[in-house]
Amino acid sequence: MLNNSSYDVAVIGAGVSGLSCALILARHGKKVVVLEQHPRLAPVLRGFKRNGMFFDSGFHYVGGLGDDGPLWPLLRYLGLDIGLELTPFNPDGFDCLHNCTTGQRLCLPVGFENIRMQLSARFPGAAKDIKEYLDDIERCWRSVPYLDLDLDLNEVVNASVHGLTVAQALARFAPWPELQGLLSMHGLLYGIEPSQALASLNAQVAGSYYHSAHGIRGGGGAVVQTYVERLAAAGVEVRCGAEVTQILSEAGTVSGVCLSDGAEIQASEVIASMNPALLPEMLPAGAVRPAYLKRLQGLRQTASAYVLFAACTNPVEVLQGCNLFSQQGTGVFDSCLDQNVEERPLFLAAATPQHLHAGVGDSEDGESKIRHGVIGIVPAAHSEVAPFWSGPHQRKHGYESKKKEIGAAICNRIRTCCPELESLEQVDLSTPLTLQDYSMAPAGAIYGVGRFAGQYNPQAVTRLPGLYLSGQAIAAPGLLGALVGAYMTCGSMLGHDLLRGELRKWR
Amino acid sequence: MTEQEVIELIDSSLAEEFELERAEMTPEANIYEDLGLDSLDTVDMVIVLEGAFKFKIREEESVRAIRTLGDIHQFVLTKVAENS
Ligand SMILES: Cc1cc2nc3c(=O)[nH]c(=O)nc-3n(C[C@H](O)[C@H](O)[C@H](O)COP(=O)(O)OP(=O)(O)OC[C@H]3O[C@@H](n4cnc5c(N)ncnc54)[C@H](O)[C@@H]3O)c2cc1C
Repeated sequence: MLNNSSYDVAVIGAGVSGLSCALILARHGKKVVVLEQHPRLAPVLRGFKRNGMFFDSGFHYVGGLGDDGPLWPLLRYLGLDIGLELTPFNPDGFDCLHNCTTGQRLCLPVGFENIRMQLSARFPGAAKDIKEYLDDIERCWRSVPYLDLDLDLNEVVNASVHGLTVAQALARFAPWPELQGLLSMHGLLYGIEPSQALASLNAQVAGSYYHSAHGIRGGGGAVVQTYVERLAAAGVEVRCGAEVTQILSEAGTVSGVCLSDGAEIQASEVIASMNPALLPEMLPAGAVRPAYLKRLQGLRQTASAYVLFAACTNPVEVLQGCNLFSQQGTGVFDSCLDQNVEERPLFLAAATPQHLHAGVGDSEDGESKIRHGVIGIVPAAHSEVAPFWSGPHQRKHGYESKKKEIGAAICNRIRTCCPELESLEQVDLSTPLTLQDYSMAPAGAIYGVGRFAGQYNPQAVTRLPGLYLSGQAIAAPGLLGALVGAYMTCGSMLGHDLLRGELRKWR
Repeated sequence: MTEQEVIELIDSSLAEEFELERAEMTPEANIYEDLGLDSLDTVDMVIVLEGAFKFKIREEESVRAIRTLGDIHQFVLTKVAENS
């Protein structure tokens, strides 16, 4: 074995969680290699350029970064705050519920107090319950080990997986279906139906945005660029096109990984940041108990989606510093997967928050015309496109026309609901198959393994010494969840007291 | 289900899912010291029991207090009785 193929830590997966783990461990003097199956790093987050426009693929906005935002120390510690320019969303309405049938819009202002005031004024009959509901979320959304750095870890009692669901928590607002819609719409950001999502999960995700909502200039592409710079400075090696097929062990302890081309990489510790449902196939025989294997295999995945990338010739004022969550009816948001694409809920965002990334395209008369990117996300089932799968990045005949058809339906839906976006035209569409290729998540799950009511998600520490898990499954969905997940993993390796102590200096 | 059937279902499920020797699975056996489980296995144990008996385990304190296989029997028997 070559000397240069021996590392302290090998990280599987170059997404936010894997790359953050690598940076944290490099800071602690570890020699780290990150292995990514995709030809380029951070495939989910990096976005792409088409027709002169930049489209984000896995990022639109982030919560928890306002004044006193608990995400700051996590970014600063890794130098990820440097060079990232935040663009605050509209303080008077950063996320709006849009009723497609009536055309009515109801917006959430930034900040718990503002939300309480605005909603109580609008729904006076529910004022007392609104206050109680929001107080609960404000109290608990950041009560996790790495968002609250003062939390006594011995006192952290993990909320029961059999806790209250979002649907149950919102039942008290039944007389106000519009309010139920508004308070459940962030389910689109964790991909679990309200009847199956824990209220504590909704609190974590929605609560972070209630606290504050920001875009990042340059979007996910800029975030990836910052990671690349920090990784280079930290001397972390990243190998792309390196698919891990086996985790190796010797005498009951992790010893490295094997790649699909047969190459072996020695490492004393391995972090698996990919979807944990992929882990059983990689584990050495007998390394973990059958009960644990079964648990990994049975983990439920979040919903998948169609993501429409489109362009408008007119500026999309309605999406300036604000996202739209659109539903056909009223009441608690659910994905309506049993219905046509046109009937399902829809998330609409400007391609790059705030500062629309205006590109130059050629119009028919040869004159250049500014175009504005729009992104629409609609829940989808993998089975709807599964027949077209013929291998990674390979599709059967008819897939392109199916994509056009679905894209056209979503465009129609948007044009009908939002007359402001009348000039909308499809640029491209990603499907559950695309998401599957980019993250390897089974069935193209947008947020990987979800925190479903009744499901015990795996923890960072495994029973195979030297093997750790990371990613959304062990913490929470989104950028924030992936970052918290990375710290939880590294804290398990380095000692939580040590890592949290260091983070406190970066508040 | 009789008490004996409940105990048999517990023992057979745990034996299979944790690859335990039935001969060692006496009620007095300490699940950590004698049967070799560790704190990481506790969650898997809860999942196995929830799956076998179709109930939800919310009693974290009681689970943490479990030391012997007999404690597990007792815990499950109580829950089965509550649920019937
Ligand atoms: C359409 C969309 C919109 C989103 N919008 C937002 C948003 O507005 N705000 C927000 O905060 N979050 C958003 N997210 C979520 C955010 O993108 C994710 O939370 C985050 O990227 C997850 O990072 P991760 O590192 O945990 O997982 P991933 O990025 O999935 O990282 C896992 C990596 O492991 C690699 N891998 C898998 N198997 C192997 C193997 N065998 N060998 C080597 N490598 C392997 C994968 O290729 C992948 O790169 C969005 C996601 C999507 C899909």
